[in-house]
Amino acid sequence: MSATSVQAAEARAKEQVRVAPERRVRLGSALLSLHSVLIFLFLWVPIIIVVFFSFNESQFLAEWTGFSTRWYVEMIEDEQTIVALWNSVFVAVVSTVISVVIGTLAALAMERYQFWGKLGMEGLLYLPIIIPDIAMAIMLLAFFNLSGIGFTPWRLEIAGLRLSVPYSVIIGHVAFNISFVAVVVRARLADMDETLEEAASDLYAGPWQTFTRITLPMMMPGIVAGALLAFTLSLDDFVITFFTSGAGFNTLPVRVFGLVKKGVTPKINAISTVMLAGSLTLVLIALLFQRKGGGTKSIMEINL
Amino acid sequence: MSEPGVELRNVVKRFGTGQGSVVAVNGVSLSIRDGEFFSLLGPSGCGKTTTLRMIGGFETPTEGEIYIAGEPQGYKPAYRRPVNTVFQHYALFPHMTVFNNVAFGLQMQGVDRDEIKRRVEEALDMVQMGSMADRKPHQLSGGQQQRVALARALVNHPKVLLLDEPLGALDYKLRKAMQFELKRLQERVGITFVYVTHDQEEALTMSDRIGVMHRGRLLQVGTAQEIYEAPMNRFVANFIGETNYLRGKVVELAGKTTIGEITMPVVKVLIEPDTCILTVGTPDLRPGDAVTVAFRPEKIRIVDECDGLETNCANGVVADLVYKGAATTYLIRLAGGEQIKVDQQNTRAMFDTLYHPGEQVTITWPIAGCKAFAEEAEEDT
Amino acid sequence: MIAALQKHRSLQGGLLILPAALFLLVFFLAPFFIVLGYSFAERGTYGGVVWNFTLENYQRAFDPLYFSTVLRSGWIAALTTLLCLVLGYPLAYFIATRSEKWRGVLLLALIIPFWTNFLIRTYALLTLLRTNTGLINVTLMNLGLIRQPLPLFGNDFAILLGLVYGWLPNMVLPLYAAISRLDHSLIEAAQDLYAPGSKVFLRVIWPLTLPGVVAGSILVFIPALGAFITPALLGGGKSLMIGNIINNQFLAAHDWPFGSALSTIMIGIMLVVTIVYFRMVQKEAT
Repeated sequence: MSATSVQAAEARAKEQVRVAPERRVRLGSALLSLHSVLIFLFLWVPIIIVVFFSFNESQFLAEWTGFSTRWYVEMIEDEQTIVALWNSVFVAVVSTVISVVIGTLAALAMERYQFWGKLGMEGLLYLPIIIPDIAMAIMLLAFFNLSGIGFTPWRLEIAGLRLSVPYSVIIGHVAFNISFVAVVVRARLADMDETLEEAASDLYAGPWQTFTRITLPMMMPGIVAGALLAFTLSLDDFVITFFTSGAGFNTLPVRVFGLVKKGVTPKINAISTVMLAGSLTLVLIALLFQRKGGGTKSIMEINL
Repeated sequence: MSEPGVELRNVVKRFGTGQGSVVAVNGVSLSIRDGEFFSLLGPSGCGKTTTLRMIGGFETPTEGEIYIAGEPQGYKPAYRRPVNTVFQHYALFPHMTVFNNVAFGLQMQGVDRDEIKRRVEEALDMVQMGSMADRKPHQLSGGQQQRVALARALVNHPKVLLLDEPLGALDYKLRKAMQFELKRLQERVGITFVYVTHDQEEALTMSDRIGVMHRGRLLQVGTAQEIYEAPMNRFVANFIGETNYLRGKVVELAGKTTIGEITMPVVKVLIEPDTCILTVGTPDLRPGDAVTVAFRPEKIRIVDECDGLETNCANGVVADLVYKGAATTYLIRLAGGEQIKVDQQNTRAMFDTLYHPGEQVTITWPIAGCKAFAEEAEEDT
Repeated sequence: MIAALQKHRSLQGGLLILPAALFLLVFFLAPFFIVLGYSFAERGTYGGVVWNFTLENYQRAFDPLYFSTVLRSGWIAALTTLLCLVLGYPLAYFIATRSEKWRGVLLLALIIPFWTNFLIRTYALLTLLRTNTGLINVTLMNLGLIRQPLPLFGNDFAILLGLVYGWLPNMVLPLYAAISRLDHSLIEAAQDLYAPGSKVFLRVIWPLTLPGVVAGSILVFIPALGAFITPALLGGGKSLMIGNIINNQFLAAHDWPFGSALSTIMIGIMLVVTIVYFRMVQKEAT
């Protein structure tokens, strides 16, 4: 047995050992990729189909008879739906503004200060996030009913339409949004380097100046992210709005629910597509801000 | 004689209360001269950064008083003190340009626009960052950020500049270059620098005087030479440079000797098994005390035979050696079993070391080059 | 006064938290206790609430008619959580092990459906699953693959599918966070010590990602247990969960005390499950 042939045999044996596990790994990773692709399809296909069939000529969702925008026309001409749309936007804007202010102040308090009852507040802030919608909805309903406040409406006119928005709905939206805004802003604050505020103080900036020149600008990406989150959650909310709105008040999701109960038509697809486009726009705006602000926490991770 | 730049009188800092409280700074008294480059040196957790922060106004002393240019600072927050800080990680404002970062302190003081422009440009030129005024911090390298931080502090013409381990995040070569630049800058500007570091080489190279701290206490203040050659206790001897230790017992007192401006007693110590040596001792030593004798590797010479009077002598065997290029460190085992490090410069060009493992050698070192400390509870270093 | 405020940090902090504290105390905590109170009260003849202490609401909840629904809801929620875990873990692992660029894209592909309206997504499933007019059944029958429509709607299957569909991202995101924080040198160290793939997973990866599993599970179980929209739209009126019964009691039957008791029981279950789950995981981690 020459030395070289022994070496060759050894090399071949090593090769085989290296290939076998590699093949297994490749199969495993192929399965993993396939699994992931399937899941993504699972998540996206229903949405795509809804959009697709919103342009269907036929009113029967299962057969495609041609391209048409009639359902969008129907949707625009449906005054109840348009009112619902404006209601949604109005409630979202108002509740976002209020909850961003309250939530940001709360975030500052929790991250930078110590005070009596802080631990209890910690729990209180997390409860609205963890509690299921329906529990919160009936809690609010019971409260508004018992206290007699809240169902009084805020009457206003927008774009020629008369809106009548119950305060209870706005209050309900603020109730859950404060916590979400606080979580997002807190994450941003926690990430912020506190030495920056010390540096400002070192450079003769008093507490208020430090806050306005350093802390607030650096918190901005978090505040914006929180605002976007609150806005989205408000637009999307169904259960809480449903319970706290009393008779006759619709936001878009409540309107859709009512329409589905009456009967499924592609008009609902049209409304859905519009709502999807709205959500998509918000996500894209959020992304743009994230890139510009150079924030370290991505909005997705905020959810964690 | 000018007012001392910074003075600390019996400053204590306690964090927390009751059982769980931690004393970070334990009765530090210190007098830093105006225009001096003073370093606070010590291992992490020794209280040097806390002390610095108290001077800066980021923490208030639990007890004691801090004076800057003769004025007691009391509870004054940082924005009311004539002091500026260069932070360990620079703390540049990320949402502002370099120019606005440097201008910030001046803006806060209400300096007018033209004056700000002039002074900022002057400060940036001084640190060679003039061309980067419009950049944002994240576009700069670590060294560049550090220089901007320096400019941002100096532009305000503070009485005292505080530096909290500013070179820690830089790589070796850059750090060496910056040490040189910082020292030159300080000499040029003439401001008192209070510099915190755990790197003894850094402190030794840059400082006019050094304060060594350990566990909240200030152990010794002096020039680099004083600290190195005449350490007052075992921790300082151990923290700075390399040290050998021998255990022994004081036999008798043996007169005095002078190092620089310090006069110290000399004692005769018995080292196992039967060697007597003469060494400088701390004033509190009496015959019969158990002591540790500390002496530095470079003070020891390997000789053919001992001189006599002014030096100490011991016999041993080469146990091991480490070739370091410019020098060789020999590990010598003495008759009593203890091992001593000896540094020898490789003055001759040769492909072999002067001595080899197993060889019998005689070592000698001067009396003034070693110091005896009373045996105390083991300090961790 | 301003000076006093500046000196006392805790006063500043207290002032900052005050709006949130007041708001939540009045509009969250108080309502919570009102509902709790209702659950021990009696239903008035015309649907109001009579404040006599009684335990009959809770007793009624254990009536087999209602309790079976409670149990079923718990079962569905648990199954949903398990399915989300089984489906979501590989997905999270996949995303976490892609390159930086792809990870962003994939996360976006996950987030976008997640941020779209839950009602719309459920509606989308509805149009697919319905027995005679749903897209799946119609297409399959037109293609001649089946003769009778598949029972994909109006049953627990539809609800399960709807819940998994809706809450899968809630599982994937925390899992992704946990997996992406894994120190890969640990995996390499295990492999260096002769551990085969399955052992590496069981002994290294799984234990270290356990916090993510717990977070994801809780974030799925709780909304699944409290589901309302999904069973309302996909359950076809026959399959109901606790959420629907609560809804009925409040808006139709006007039996607020009973509805409150059911809601309290539901929250109680969530609390118990969360605590038990946490303890179990803590034990396994040590």
